[in-house]
Amino acid sequence: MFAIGQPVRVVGVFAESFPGVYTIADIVNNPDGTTVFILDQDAGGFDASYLEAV
Amino acid sequence: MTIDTRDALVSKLGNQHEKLVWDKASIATQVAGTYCSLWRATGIPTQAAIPAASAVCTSALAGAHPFTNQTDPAVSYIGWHTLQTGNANNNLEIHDRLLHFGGLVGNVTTGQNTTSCDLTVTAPAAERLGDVDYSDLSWWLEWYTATGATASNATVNVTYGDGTTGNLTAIAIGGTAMPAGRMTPLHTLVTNGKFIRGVNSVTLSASTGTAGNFGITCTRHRTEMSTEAVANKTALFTYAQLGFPKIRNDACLMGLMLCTATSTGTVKGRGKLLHG
Repeated sequence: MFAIGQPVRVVGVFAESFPGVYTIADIVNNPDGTTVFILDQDAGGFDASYLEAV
Repeated sequence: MTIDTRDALVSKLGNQHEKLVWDKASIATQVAGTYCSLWRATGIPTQAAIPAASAVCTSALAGAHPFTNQTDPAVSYIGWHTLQTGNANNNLEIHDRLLHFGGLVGNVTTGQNTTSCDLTVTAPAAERLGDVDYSDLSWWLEWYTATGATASNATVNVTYGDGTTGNLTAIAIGGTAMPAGRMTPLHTLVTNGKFIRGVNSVTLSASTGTAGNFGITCTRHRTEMSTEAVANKTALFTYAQLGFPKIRNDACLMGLMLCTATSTGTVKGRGKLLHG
């Protein structure tokens, strides 16, 4: 799992739209039980399955 | 009689036309500068159903304007129209709704297939599509019930007119909840000179927190009108201002707008559908 401030890369079908390295800016626990990692640079939220640690 | 002279046009305006009537209730929770569909607004035409699978849309569908199909070479045209909007400085675009698909949800991060959402599989009559390269068409994500507010992105996998496939640039769909009625255009994201023929899947980068319901819609723009600074003041539009758009047999006429406020406001109007 990832922590706030950690650098990550976006992978999978989103890799082309979000190239480069981002930082975890926030972590949101949804009411539906899912966890969403909010990236800096206004990149939006990602499930852990679309992120890899750098 | 073909409408190829001004006299013929005047005759059709006065003597031979069907009426288009709009009387749509306001849809709340919108954002200025975003598109909103009136497909599910209550009023006239009646509120449409949420699609459950890919379907060709026609004038017989609840939510569309019924009209009489013409025998070739005769076609229909919008020759005159009025517009009154409950919000000042508002607008109405009339599109032929060609194909729609519903049932996508906002809380799944695996790819969601949009089965048969392709104009060569779920196929309206070719004359409704315009240019054979699909360049006359607009593709949208259309929300039927709101998804959640958690920030997310959508990657849409499409088939282009030449049969190749690819992912469009990701679209932000969270941060604030996408409300019922929101339409997010896909066509302007195509930058490689190709135009969309179908949509294969939608993948979300994260759960928005709420399932909601959204889908894919393909339309062909026919005409648009706007009102000025006084709410509910009638604006009149002649055939020339409307561009005298052809309305092909079975066309599923729907309204949408680029919102100028936090609601669509009421939308009313009357039109004359000329045949010839």
